[in-house]
Amino acid sequence: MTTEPHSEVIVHGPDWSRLRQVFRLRGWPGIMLLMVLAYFIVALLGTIGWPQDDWNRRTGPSFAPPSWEHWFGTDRLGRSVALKTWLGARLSVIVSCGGAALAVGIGLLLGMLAGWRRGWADAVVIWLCTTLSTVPRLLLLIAFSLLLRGQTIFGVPMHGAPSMLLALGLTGWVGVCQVVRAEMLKLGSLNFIVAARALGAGSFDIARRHALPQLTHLILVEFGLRVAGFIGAEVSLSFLGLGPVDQPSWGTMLEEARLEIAQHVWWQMTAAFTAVLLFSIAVHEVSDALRDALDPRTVPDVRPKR
Amino acid sequence: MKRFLIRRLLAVVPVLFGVLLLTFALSRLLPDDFASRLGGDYASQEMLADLRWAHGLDKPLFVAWDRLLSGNIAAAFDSQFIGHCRRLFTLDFGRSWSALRPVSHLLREGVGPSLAITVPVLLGSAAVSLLLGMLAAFVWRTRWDRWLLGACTLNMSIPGVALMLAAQYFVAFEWGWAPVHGWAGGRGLVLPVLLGIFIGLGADVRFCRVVLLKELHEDFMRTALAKGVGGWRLYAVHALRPAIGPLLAHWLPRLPLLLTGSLFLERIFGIPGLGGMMVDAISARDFPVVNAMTFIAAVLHLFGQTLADIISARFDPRIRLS
Amino acid sequence: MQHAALVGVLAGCGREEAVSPGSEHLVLRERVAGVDPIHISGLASGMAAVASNIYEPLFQYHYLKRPYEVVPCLAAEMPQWSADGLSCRIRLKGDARFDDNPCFPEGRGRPVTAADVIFSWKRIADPRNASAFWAHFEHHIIGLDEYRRALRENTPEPAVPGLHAVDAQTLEIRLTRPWPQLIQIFAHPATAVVPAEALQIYGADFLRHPVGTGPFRLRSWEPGTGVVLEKSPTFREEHYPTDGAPEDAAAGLLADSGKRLPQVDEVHFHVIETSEPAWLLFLQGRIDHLGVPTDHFDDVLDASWQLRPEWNQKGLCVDVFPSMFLRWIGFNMADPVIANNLPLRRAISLAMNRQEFNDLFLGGRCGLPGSLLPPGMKEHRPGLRDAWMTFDLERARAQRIEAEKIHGGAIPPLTLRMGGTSPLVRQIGQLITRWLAEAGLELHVDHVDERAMNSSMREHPASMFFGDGYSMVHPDPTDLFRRFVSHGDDATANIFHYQNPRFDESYESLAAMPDSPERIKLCHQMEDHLLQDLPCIGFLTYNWVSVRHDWLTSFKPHAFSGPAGLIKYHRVDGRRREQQSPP
Repeated sequence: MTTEPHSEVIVHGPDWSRLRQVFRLRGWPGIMLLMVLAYFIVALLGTIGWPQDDWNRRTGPSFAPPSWEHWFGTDRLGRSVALKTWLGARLSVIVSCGGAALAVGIGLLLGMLAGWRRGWADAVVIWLCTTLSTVPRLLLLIAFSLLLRGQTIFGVPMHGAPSMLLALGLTGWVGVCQVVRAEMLKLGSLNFIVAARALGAGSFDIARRHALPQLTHLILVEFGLRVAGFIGAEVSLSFLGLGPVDQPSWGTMLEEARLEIAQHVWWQMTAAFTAVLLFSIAVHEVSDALRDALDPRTVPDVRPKR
Repeated sequence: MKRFLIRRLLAVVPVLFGVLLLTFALSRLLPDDFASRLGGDYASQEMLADLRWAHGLDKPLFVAWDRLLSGNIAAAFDSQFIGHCRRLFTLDFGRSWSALRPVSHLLREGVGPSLAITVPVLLGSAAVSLLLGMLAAFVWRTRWDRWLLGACTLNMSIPGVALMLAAQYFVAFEWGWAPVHGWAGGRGLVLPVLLGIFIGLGADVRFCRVVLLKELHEDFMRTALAKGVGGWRLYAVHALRPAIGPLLAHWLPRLPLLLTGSLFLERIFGIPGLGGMMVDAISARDFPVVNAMTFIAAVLHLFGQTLADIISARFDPRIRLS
Repeated sequence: MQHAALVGVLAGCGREEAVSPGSEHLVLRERVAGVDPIHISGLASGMAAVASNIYEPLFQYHYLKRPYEVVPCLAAEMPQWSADGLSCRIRLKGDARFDDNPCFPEGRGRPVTAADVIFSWKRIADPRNASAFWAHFEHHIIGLDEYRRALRENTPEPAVPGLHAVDAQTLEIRLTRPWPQLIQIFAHPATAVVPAEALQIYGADFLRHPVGTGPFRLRSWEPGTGVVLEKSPTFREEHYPTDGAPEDAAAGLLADSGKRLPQVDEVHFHVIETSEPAWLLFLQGRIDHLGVPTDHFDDVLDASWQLRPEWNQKGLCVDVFPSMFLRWIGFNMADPVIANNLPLRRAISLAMNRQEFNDLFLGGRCGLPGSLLPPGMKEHRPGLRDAWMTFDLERARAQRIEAEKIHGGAIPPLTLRMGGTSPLVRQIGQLITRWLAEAGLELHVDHVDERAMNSSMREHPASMFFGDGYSMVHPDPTDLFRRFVSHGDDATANIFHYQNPRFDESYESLAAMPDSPERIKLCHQMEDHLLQDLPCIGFLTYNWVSVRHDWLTSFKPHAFSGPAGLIKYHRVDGRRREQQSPP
């Protein structure tokens, strides 16, 4: 049983030429793509510490309202909210893109394994998918974050970004796996793959050379969807106290701001909220456009013409 | 039909086992010792061992092999995992480690406030998204459709928690239209429920729209059109009926949200429900509570899914129960 | 505008509409699952606030006298000690009885006997009950440890020779070692007396069906919103004390001398977890007494800690009093970088801008400690100001340079472990990181769950920790010093991993010594020892600042009764409340 309403199989591959058409510069998705790129650049600049990395420094009095001197005001410890917002981009980008990459990676691997090998591998993967999707997603996410916090994996201490990234990746792959598996089952019966098999090509080799290119568009679409979802997840996790402590994040800013409401300190909340919102809209739009352009499963012409 | 049901139920067994295994593994893997939390500042090692014993945490994890080999089978299976399964299947759930009361009592107390929020939210969001979805399908390929879709994307882009906080600040605190915090029943529920409906509406509207559009493109729909059925009647009867299957398949597995769905709303607006209880339980490592909630949620999920399968088979003649 | 909004909430909270004249209304800051004395985790907890009005231990602290003095409660008089200090007799009050309850035959409560006391303490010892208070009993009473072991191993229950009912009203306790702190332990609400019948009848639901000997009994329990207690009709005759501290007469605290207790008819505990609604409820006169929320400090108090005149006119009173609490930063003395480097520890102490912390997070209400024993203890030395327990960045840097010489190079990054992950705790960590950076030290903060702090410092310690601090269970210096002992039964409390044989020796003699000037002298020596060696840095002493309406009188804050105070002594003038507070 699938819950996807548009699971009917269309055999032809993605139409890559539509991609350029959708993202043409003057269109709305093009602008959104630019915005996403802008966030990436901010994140990159933040990572190399520009304009400065020392966000914990006191720059003014506590709770100074926005002014020329402090653009977005200051927080309780007198730190610049503008700088915190700026540097928050790096965490959001790393967590959402990294988590999405991990989720897609795991889903792809397991989905290909299941769809290609069938038999017990398929049974085990399906069992894993159903089990994981039966447990409330958020509970799983919180449990994984708690589990990872304080551990050291491959020499990387798991607090803040790495642990959130891993938790999101490890819990978010089920959907990808199901989609990839279905696609693989379909591909397995196609002529060129049957032919390749008959010619004696190795299983892994076929998967890599012939099947993977057929999945690229799916991977892109699923990746975009997950990035969009994980931006919000970062906020939720941080809100529950599972966020980073050693660098600013929009989620933790929102949580701090919540306690400042009573003192009418609105600037930290506004800054973080706007930052998340714009990034999230842009990613959603881009991922939607990607989906329209590349996903053959969408009902033709269901999106209105732009 | 009977064979279908039996097969469906049998398929549930390995999944439930998986859920049991997962909850058990998580509760044993989490990196800290419950006993030393309970013991306070002065607990000696001996006392910690006693505390572990009192909560059955000193039993073997799965099977005591040495006892099995020596033939004492009953004692060999007196393990944490077997106890975990037995508690969940007998719906006993044991006693909360931090609240010290039976988990079933805690569930009973928390279920009211939770349902007071989640029932209106689930029903409301289903109704509103179906209506808006139909509207969107109706105005398909017009300017209105584009606006609606844009609004959906905007809605989907707002992180739920951020919106709740913003609404609490402006609507409740600054403008004074609703209580800020606290469980008072009645009026205090309006804002959380509206927020609950609003958050996640975008995705649902888009989903309904696509489902309805797909049905409108089916052949029998063209036939209906040709027969002169038009306008709202076409939607209400001909498109909606076959769409019920996918729609239910979309909503019924959300049944567990009845219990855990209002987690953030409860946290933010101070409502003493199950969602907040679960977060507290997780962070206090109160596993009897966490496990009970997870198990109930999983059972509800499976139940909803099975129900959706059966109903969609009844409503859509194209699906055969095989 | 916002007030209107909050009033909406409050209308819900204060659902019990008409405020009855003789009732007291208080706030609990956490939800209470139920009450059972043996599960009281802290004196400031919600469970302690409710339980200590329903249940009573053998002894209690004098309401007015300071420093705190133990007086009989269920006991008829102070214990009679044997010459060797290894056994004592305690006689119970003849008129102490359990409240009427369906769990008793014909629903009539019965007198408290020595067997009830023994039963209640055995519950603490019973490992199945998993009571954390056992840590205070362990190794002291003859046979009780064996009793615990037998229950654990499922062997027949042995008799406990150390707890013996001589007759129905007399209890004899025999000890394995001198235990002068006994009376203070038996004044803790966790040792309160419960009837066996109630446990038998109510089982797991005993938590919601308390049956005690105290001045109040449970009337209703509204999960998540509140608890209502009412005067127990069977409460024995007890009177308001006739003597107190010197300043009490002027403060009007002796006005009720000799009156029968309790003086209020009902106690309403409202569960309100956030401070803002509670504050507004207080301003409306629906709450009688409340700790001032940090955000409202400047509204209420002027710079000299006096109530601002406009509040005075409204009939508010303010009470400031030092709680028996010290916030500290502890060092892991097993970490060679820290342990072998006294200048480093001094540098860290000097880098702490305690006043900034006080102003940012606590509205400046707290005191800066000069020593380790908090004010309010008779061993506290008010004049003592330790040279290293101040903020001085210049000296901190100098000490750091000294420390680098000893270490032989730059000091590696240190780790500070903090309990809790709330935004405030995170901000505190970031503030401390900033301070140390200013002194030239690098710090990483590592957050664990609040209650996991001790275990994490025991098992995989960080170089420093900032935890709940030190909150006294009973006003005796052993309660502080046992945390630094490195051997014997008390060593597990030592999360500093501090080892000093001389200190251990002093501790042992202190623990066995009855109260005397020599004991106070020894206590000061031990405090000096710790200040010299610096296994921990004093950070803040905590002041409770609370406001109350003037219709609540005979109110004196008390460190061992939680923020709600000892309600049986309070008096509420219902008519004044009606006149002053808007309907």
